[in-house]
Amino acid sequence: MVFTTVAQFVRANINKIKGPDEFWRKRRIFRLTAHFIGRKRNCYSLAIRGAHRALQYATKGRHLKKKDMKDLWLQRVSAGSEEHGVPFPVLQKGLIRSDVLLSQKTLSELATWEPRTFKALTQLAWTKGVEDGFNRIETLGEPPKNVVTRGMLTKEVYLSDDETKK
Amino acid sequence: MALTLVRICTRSLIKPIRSSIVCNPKIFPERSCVKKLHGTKASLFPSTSGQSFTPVKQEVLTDDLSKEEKRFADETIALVNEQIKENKEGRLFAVIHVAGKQFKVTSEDIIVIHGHWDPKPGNEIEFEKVLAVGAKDFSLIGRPVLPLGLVTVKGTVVEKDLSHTKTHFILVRRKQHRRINFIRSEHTMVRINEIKIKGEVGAIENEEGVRRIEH
Repeated sequence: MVFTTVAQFVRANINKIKGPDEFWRKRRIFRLTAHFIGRKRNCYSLAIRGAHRALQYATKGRHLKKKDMKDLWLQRVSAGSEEHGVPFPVLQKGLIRSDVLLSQKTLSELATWEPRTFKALTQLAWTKGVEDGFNRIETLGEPPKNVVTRGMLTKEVYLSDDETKK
Repeated sequence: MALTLVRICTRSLIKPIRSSIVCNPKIFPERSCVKKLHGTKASLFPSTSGQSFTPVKQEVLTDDLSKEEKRFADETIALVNEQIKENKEGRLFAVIHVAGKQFKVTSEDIIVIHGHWDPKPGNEIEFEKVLAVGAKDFSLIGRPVLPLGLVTVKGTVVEKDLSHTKTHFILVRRKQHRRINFIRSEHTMVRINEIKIKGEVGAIENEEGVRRIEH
């Protein structure tokens, strides 16, 4: 390697003596704080505090984001179901008891983009609530009349071996 | 005293008094419920012997309602099947379950599957866990999945990549503890090629699990 100045030679080889050069070590931190405001941006002693804090936030934030998304989905689904006169707990319980295992995320997407499918789901849950006699289900008013369950939400269909062979 | 007695007696008629002290004539002969009960019975339950009484004959109700419902359900299913036959169902969406997560997809979508997932680029995949399918005029909802062979959702693995670098940084203040790790998780991009309803809706031979066992 060719070094044009003595200073560069020293900076390149000083790692072997006492770790990475101070200049480059600080540069690493300053790269993280380049978008900060005030003295946190350019004063090293303040910048490194800010950088540490920011990295900690980033680590925790990845978990918090998942939690926040769950809250958001919940809010969207409950808002959507209340639009059809069904409180969220009734929807949740009704769907789970009818073995409809759509996740909160899916339900929120259906509530947003597929309103007719979502309405059908709320009506299904309501009917299941009436059939199973959920607590105070009658306070919701007249249950939907267009849902025909024929007792199939409660009855389990088992086929015998002979029937499966056919 | 008379008032009290009547109160006790009425209670004893409605539900048995649990306390033996109140009822026991040996301890409180003047408060004996048994004695007074016969006296008050007539006033509480007037006898029906004098009135004319026409019994209602028991009759078997015909199952009109369930017949009507069955007809309605059959008609609806027939309409759905007809629409599928004529290819008038429109663009479909499906809810599929892949690698522990649910995705609402339609054809030509690209979904990103996070974490390690075995399929390689170029692999064609048929998704079998279809939780729901929606069309223009009807939705099919599985309990929890739709019968196998009713709906085909096909996709192709387009790309495998790593995510951006995530910094995992732990710092405990004043305890000389600091850790930094850099993570890149795997991402798999899958293009959804087609969603199609192949089977007949409401056909019993496609009952869930039956065909799966045959394999």
